[in-house]
Amino acid sequence: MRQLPHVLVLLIVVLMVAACGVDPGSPNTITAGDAALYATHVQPYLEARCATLDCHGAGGRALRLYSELGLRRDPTLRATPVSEGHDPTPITDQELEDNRLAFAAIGSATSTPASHLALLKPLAVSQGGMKHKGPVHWQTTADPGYRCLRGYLVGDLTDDIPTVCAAALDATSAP
Amino acid sequence: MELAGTVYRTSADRDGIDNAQVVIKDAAGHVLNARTNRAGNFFFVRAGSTPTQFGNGRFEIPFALSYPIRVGVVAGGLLQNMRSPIWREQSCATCHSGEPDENSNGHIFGLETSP
Repeated sequence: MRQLPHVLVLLIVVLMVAACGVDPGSPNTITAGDAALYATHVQPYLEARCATLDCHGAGGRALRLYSELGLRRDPTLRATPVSEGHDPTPITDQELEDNRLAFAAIGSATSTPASHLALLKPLAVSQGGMKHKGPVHWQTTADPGYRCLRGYLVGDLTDDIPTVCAAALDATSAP
Repeated sequence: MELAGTVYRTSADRDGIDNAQVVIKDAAGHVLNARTNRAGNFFFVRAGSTPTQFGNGRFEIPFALSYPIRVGVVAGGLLQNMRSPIWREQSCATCHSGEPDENSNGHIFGLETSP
């Protein structure tokens, strides 16, 4: 039988050793933003803009978000339907924590904080955004929604996060 | 279809409600009032040259609806507004199916169910 050249054997060995160093099942370390800031100012905007049942309030989405009117972590949290006469069960601490981590996780593979998928997907492609199956939420990076999430995720803006997130929520809630 | 669904009398009912009013407002400012048929169904289809309601639940519109869409239902004199907008889904039943649970608010209904 013909032998492989030494260089090729060496290359195969190097590749095998390198492959052994990658464990696809190992957990990645992700850095999530401030929990209180997320719960108070970011979650309300995401609930209104992203977390409806027809969008990211669905288990199969790359970003899965729980919300009072959308997906719940437990069926008992919506034992009766929400209506004019029945308010939703308030979001739980566990749902908030899961959302915060899910939100952080979709940015774990990006090269810089500003290239976080949550900042690119809702942004118009013409402004440097990325194609999004859902709607374009921000025509420019001046949109308060963009500034709300960038302030939370990157922290490099001079905006006051509560103020800009409130403005983003107001714009979403407008009829 | 642009948008379609079924309205029930109450959350627990399994019979659709006839002649309920379905009010939608899309992002382009179109406000449309549709009526359900005897099975409780309504459906907006893109056809015709002017918004027109037909007696079988069909509502023809000559334009595509723009998202987000806000929806309310009027039945028995009671208005039920959907609290969140529709961002992309055209079939109401995708989110409103079966009993209320983690994935659904249950059926679309017009009248309140006593707690």
